[in-house]
Amino acid sequence: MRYFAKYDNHGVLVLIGTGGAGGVEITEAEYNALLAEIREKAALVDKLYSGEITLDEVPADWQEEIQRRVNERITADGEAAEQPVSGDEFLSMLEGVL
Amino acid sequence: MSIQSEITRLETAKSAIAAAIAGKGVTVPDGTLLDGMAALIEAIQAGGGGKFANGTITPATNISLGPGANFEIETGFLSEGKQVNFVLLLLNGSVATGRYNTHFIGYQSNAGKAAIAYKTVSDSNARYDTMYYDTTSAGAYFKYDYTTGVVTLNGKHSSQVLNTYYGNSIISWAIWVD
Repeated sequence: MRYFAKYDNHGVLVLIGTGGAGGVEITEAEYNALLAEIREKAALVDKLYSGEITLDEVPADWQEEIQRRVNERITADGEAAEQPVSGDEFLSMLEGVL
Repeated sequence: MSIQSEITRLETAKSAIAAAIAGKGVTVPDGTLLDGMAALIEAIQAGGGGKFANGTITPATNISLGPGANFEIETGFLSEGKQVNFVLLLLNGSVATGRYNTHFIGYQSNAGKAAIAYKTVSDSNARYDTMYYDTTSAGAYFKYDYTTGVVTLNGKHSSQVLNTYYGNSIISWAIWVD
């Protein structure tokens, strides 16, 4: 299986993937390490957002990124709250399909 | 455009996907929902001569699929002008809260339009939108370039984001020729 990573113009990791083409090819071990980091950061975002942890409990070199992503999520939640669709009704309809 | 018509179209797309999988020799159990389709696609045996390709994408940062985003998936699959079938499945599951499950599934053949639809569900809200294989559809489209193997997604709304807020966003994709 082919593993790859893509970075932006500033060298920041944008995504990882398998198969396909493009990106920088990496080893399975490198892929798994990046995947673990992606998941760990996502978990920290969730915990900081919910108040389960404070920013001080986030590794120092990740604090800026984690706080930014929490702020983005707060903004996104606000946008979601403005949608006119009734969530319960739509969910019940869609779950029968999906 | 009504909610019911969109649901009907999703049902049609799901049936088409199941039929395509079955056509490749993989049995689709009755009652299989979209959640189970990716695993069935994985079970399709790759044909000789480069007739099938698949892969996954996991974002490390939020990736916009909104207007003008032109998010590209480099499949490496060149169909040489032959009609292709393309399936895209996005799973965005929250790690902790179980909210905001987003499903994004599509089926397309060169013969006509098909929909990539997604739904985002939270405790109090649900929203959905579609991308069409139609470059005239209000700026929302997905397209496959058979000379480069690149699939491009350009969404309709700024809210269409492949995000990392709620856990692991994973795109699974598959592309094949009959």
